[in-house]
This record gives sequence, C-alpha cells and structure tokens, in this order.
Amino acid sequence: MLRWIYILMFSMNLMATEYCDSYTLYEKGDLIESKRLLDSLAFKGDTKAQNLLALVNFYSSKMSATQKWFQRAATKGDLKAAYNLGIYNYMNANIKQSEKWMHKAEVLNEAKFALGVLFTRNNPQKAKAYFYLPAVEGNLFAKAHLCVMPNFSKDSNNAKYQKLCQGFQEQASLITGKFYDTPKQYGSINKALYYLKYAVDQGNAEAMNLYGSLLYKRRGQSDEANALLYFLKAADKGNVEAKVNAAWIYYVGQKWTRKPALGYKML
Amino acid sequence: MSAVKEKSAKAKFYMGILHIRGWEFSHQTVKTDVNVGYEFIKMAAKEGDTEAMQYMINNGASREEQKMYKKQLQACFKTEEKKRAMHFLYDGC
Repeated sequence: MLRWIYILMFSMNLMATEYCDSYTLYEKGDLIESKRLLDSLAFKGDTKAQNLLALVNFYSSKMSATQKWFQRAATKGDLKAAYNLGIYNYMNANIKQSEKWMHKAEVLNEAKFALGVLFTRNNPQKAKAYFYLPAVEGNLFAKAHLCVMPNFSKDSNNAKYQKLCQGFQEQASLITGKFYDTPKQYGSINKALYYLKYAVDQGNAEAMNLYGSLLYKRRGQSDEANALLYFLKAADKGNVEAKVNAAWIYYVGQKWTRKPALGYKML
Repeated sequence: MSAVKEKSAKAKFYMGILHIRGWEFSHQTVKTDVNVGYEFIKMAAKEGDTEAMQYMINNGASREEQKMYKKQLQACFKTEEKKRAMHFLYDGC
C-alpha cells in the first residue's frame, strides 16, 4: 500500500516539475518547446496544463486547438480555463457563450468584472453590482467602470457606490476610455470617446490627447480640425505627445489645418 | 519648447522623415539632408519608437543594424503581447 502511495506521490511531483518547465518556456516565449512538454500532460488530463496549452495554441494562431483545450479544462471545473473560454468567446463575438462560461467562473474577481462588462449592454444596474465586488478589493478597472456609470434612482446601493467613487470620477473616465481603446478586440472608438468626455471636460491633458487621436482614428482627415483642437488644448497643458500629434496635422493637414511652419516650430 | 527638445522619440522620427524627404514634402520648412534625417530616426529607434525601428529595417540600415533593430522590435512586440495576455489567466509554478 505504502509503495503505491510513494509511486503516486512521485508521479505527481514529476508532473508538477514538467508543468513548471513548460511554464518557464512559455514565459520565455519558446512556444514550440513549451507545447511539446504540455502535450503529454494535457493528454493525461492535467487541467492546468490544458489551460496553458490552449494559450500556447492561441499565440500560435491555432484557434480550434485553443478552444478545444480551454473547453476540456473548463468542463472539468478549472475556473481559470472557464474564464479564459469566456474571454475567447467574447473575442469571437459569441456573447451568450461568453456569459455562460463567465458565470461558471464567477468566484474569480476577474470573471465578476467581465460579467459587469457584459451586463453594461442590457442590465446596467446588475453590471454595477458585479463591478462593485472586485472594485472594493482593489480592481482599478472595475472601480473605474462602476464610477463612470450613471446612478439609478431606485437602486438601493447608490450610497455605497457614491462613497467608493468620491474624487475618482476624472481618473475613472480616463481609465475606462483607455480600456475601450486597447486592445483591439475589446475596442470601440465610440465607447472610448463617450467615457473619455468627462475627463476631457475636466481638463485632463492625457484624456484630451487620446480624445483627439480617437477622433482622427474614427474619421481620418475629415475630422482633423476637431482632433487638432484637442491636441492643441492638451499641448497647452504640457502634453508632449499631443504637441507631436498637432505638429504632424499641421504638416499633413488639408485647408486651414496646413501650417507647416508652425508644425516645424512645434516639432 | 519644441517636442524634440522635450525628448519625444516620435517627434525625432517625424523630424527625420522631414529631413529625408525635404522641401517637397515638408512645405519648404526643412531642406533635404538624408544624413541628418537618419540620425534623427536612429535616435528615435534607440529611444524605443517602433515606427522608427521599422523604418530603419526597411530603409538604409546595414545588415548588422537591421539585425539589431529586428531584435529590438521583436522585444517590443513581446511586451505588447504580454500586455494582451494579461486578459487570460493561467497558473504559475
């Protein structure tokens, strides 16, 4: 009996070491070698390895394998894999599936935040409730999202939300705006512009520069005069990036925005 | 104060482009001076501007320089990728 326990402990130890080796390789960016080690572990049913193998496949652009391994680990109850599968589905615009897997991983603060983001579309009051828990525990994105959302007159939690958001509105506006600007797959220029507006109105230079860049990104040269206005305002407040952006518009601009001499002076 | 003096890498890259392309492009504000242009772009690449690195790889860098810029660019992309990966969760050791 004791002999079997020793054998079991030894093989578990071996699996942990193998996982650690593949993890180190993944962190170093050696995806091929990492995948080689993870493959055997994943086929033995190690959910940690299955989750990491899905990520290795994701960064190797093998999407069906990514989904397969996330799903295998998530159905066996791995919370991180369930969360990842939720994100993966969200990236593929499969919102229903995303919601399903996020609910399964709901114990994790990250999943609560993700559920908040999902509910902002159709149930903002519920979204706020989801943002609140991770926000209290220090998740800055959740706090920012909670604070940029309007208060609902019948919401009994308004007082605790207001207490948490006191003095944080401007930063919340900037953080949420940035969140929707990057990375690409979550991005929505209009959403980012909407959330940034408060910080812009408060005179936040970083927000003004980002706002100008987004206006230019959205409509290109047809909105360059508007973008330039925000760049100049931010540059006046000492934002160097905005100065460069304004200078460049002075160079490549059309009609009255073309003032190369001024652009050169600013550069 | 100009953006180049305020140590903006992007400003240096744009300044480099203006010097390389000269009057025709820069609306008679900067005379063509390819050497000065490359100096600016090299400075921008050294300070981590990815557009400048890409420019140096595609134009005007020697083979050894190209290797160096490619390495630098890859490191930048890796950092970007890590930022992207922050959205996924996995177990450490």
